[in-house]
Amino acid sequence: MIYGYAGTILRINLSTNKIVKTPLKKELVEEYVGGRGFTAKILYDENPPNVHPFSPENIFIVAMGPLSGHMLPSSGKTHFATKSPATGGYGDSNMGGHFGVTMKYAGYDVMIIDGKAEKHSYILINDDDVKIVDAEKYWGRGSAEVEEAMKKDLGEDYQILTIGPAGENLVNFACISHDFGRQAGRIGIGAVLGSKNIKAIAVKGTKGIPVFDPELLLEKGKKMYGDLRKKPGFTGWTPQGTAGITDWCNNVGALPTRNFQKSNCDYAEKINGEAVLKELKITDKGCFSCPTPCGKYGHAKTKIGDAYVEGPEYETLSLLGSNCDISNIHDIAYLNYICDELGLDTCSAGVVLSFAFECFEKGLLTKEDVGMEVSFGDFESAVYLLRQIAERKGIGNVLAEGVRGAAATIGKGSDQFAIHVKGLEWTGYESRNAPGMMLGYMTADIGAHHGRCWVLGNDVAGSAVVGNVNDLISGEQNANFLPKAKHENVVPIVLKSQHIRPAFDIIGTCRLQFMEIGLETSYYEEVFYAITGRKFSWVELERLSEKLWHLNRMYNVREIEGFGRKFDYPPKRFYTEPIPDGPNKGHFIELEAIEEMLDHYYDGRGWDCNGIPTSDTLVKFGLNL
Amino acid sequence: MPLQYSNETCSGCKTCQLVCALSKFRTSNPSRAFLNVKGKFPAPGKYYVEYCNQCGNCMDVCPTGAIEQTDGVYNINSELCIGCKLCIDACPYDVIRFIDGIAHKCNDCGQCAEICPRNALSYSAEGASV
Amino acid sequence: MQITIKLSESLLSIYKTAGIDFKETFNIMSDTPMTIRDILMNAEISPMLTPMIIVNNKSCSSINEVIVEDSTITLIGPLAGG
Repeated sequence: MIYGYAGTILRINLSTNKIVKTPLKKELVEEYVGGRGFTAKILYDENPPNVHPFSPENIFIVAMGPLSGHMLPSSGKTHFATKSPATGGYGDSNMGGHFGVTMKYAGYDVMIIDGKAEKHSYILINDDDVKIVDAEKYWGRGSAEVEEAMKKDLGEDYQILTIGPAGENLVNFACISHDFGRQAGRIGIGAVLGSKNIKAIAVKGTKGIPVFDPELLLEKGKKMYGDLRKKPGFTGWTPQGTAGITDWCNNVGALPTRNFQKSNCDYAEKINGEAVLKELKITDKGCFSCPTPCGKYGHAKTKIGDAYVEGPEYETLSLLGSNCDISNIHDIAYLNYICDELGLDTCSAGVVLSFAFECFEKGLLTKEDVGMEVSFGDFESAVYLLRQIAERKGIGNVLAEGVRGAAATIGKGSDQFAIHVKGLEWTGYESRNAPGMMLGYMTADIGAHHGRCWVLGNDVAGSAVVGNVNDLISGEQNANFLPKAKHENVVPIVLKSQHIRPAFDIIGTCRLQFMEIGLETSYYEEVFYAITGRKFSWVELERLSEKLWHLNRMYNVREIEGFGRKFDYPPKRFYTEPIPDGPNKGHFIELEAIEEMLDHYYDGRGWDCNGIPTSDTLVKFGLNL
Repeated sequence: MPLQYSNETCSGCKTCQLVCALSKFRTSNPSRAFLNVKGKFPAPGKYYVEYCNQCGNCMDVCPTGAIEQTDGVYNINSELCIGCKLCIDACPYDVIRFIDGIAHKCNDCGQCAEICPRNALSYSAEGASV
Repeated sequence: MQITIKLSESLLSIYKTAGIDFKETFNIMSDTPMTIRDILMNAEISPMLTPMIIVNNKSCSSINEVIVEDSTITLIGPLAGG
């Protein structure tokens, strides 16, 4: 028995129908702890080299952390990983809700799925009992529709994840959905399940997880909940969730607008957090054990229909909203719902749509190519394209490859405004005047994703510190203009963020209580000990988090032909086109600055000038690869 | 004042279940808690928590007198419980648990209300407020 | 009147990285009413870094809001999206 852990790895081979359970090894726990640590190690060691993401041999991993499922704030995060259809390299995606903790209560810290089911199937887990079941009656149907049906069929105490038609049709930004509003969104994770003919995974777990010192966990866990309430951020965060940041992003020129052509819009008040609350919200919906539910579950009404949806949160507001120049909050929420039902990542979907709109605007795509006239700001265009993409019909088949693939097919210089890094679409922060954010996006192992690094506040602070304030502010909190941010000193800040943010993916909790609300790291150390009996310091956790950067980089080196520095560049738009207006008018990142940042970053990481970890670095981190 | 629940602010987090099971059974296992947390989705999109409101139906059906009431709280004497499960059938909220051959129920310790981060469970006459 | 200012962790940490150390909580005294904007300037905190401001547990919609009595103002720094 390993305190804190369920103690078993569940392996399912869909080709042979073999189900094998092996004890979780102490060495793996000791060295890699859980969650993102497990996925990095297992993917590197067990995934056959050069396997195609949609090949049956590509493994699909679900991994929980040692703190998952225990009594502390937000211990319900589930980590998924596979070889990414979007990038061809290491891919992971994290999801809230209740699925993973229930898998742990059923007895499994890790689930590894390989092979491909002969028929459309779902995996059914009820404690020790694991089955592969026919899913033909669910295939082709929407994610929430299927989850609702399965709960009726199986029972309410099952936690269920599903893919939508997009995953079934191997769209490279297909997601996994769960609990009527939570997703493992990125890297095409849903398409890998689709390639295995798996529509859903349903789990019921009643076993419980052993705790090293239950009395101490009661004390320390309660303290976390109690002290969190006293933090200034506690009351600020929950009411609007992440949508609360929309106005600020607009005010500082970080709101992607019209396929990242611009950095702010003139209708932010229509699509901000207040709009979500006023127009849509029914319930504050949260994840397992979370005291600060960021989910805003609500009801949207549009001219083509109405829908219940959790969201839109900030990424969706920005990328399906201003980035597509859609200014009606109900329309954005409905697009959120469509993406959820079809099983599409709202981040990538927003960027793919805006790419398509710009192609059409520039005449690179015609009405004949697309099937109808489409444009920025047109809600019905967006609905149409999303459905085409999920079904891989017509132009949908091109766009289903993501912006990198679509630009390669469309050609005509469209790669200029295909907004991605390594094949994964950018997310909700215009970064041409935010060099820290820019560098974070460029260097994230899974492609452009803010989950690995968020330092926009630091980027803006450079302009906003005492002395400049009166020059900058006009009336409210928006800036007249922002001076050019300096890129020289961003590397240490980026590295730190890249170690801290994904550290929570290792221990299996949400990072929000620490990052946004300020619960100190000592709380996590204390509950870690109470749960596992292991004294594991935050310093050690950050060190492990750092180690995984090298491991995942080496996976990318192995799996992506010619991988190296050239994969770390941002989209051409960002180093050739100044922002045309708004607070960041005239700013963009020069290629020279990009090269300097990369040189310093690689230095800081212990990588060579091509961005490959040196053998000294690998030895230093105990990686014998 | 008995335990109260209002779903106005409940976000379905199950922290109430976690503290209950950890306190009573020294394990992390919400399925052992004396509360059920249910969501009705997609519509109406709200949560509902079933909990023991000390109604006494369990005592009424217990054939051995294992359940007694003190100060409005019904407690099971594990030494007298024969595991017949009649109390479980009688419980209108399905919050009595059968573990290792014996029935277990809520003893109104109040830890769920104390920890509920949304004030959905409380002993307050005013109900929830966040 | 006494105005108690509380800074969120995200705000504290951004200023710290920029080389400026603020206390999590501190007070400002004033004989006359002040707008939130005045209070921020007085405290040398930039409105550009305070996307959310809570006044006595209520969300504040404008930095032109006038404070006339003892109050607690909580400043929430920029937060990441989902």
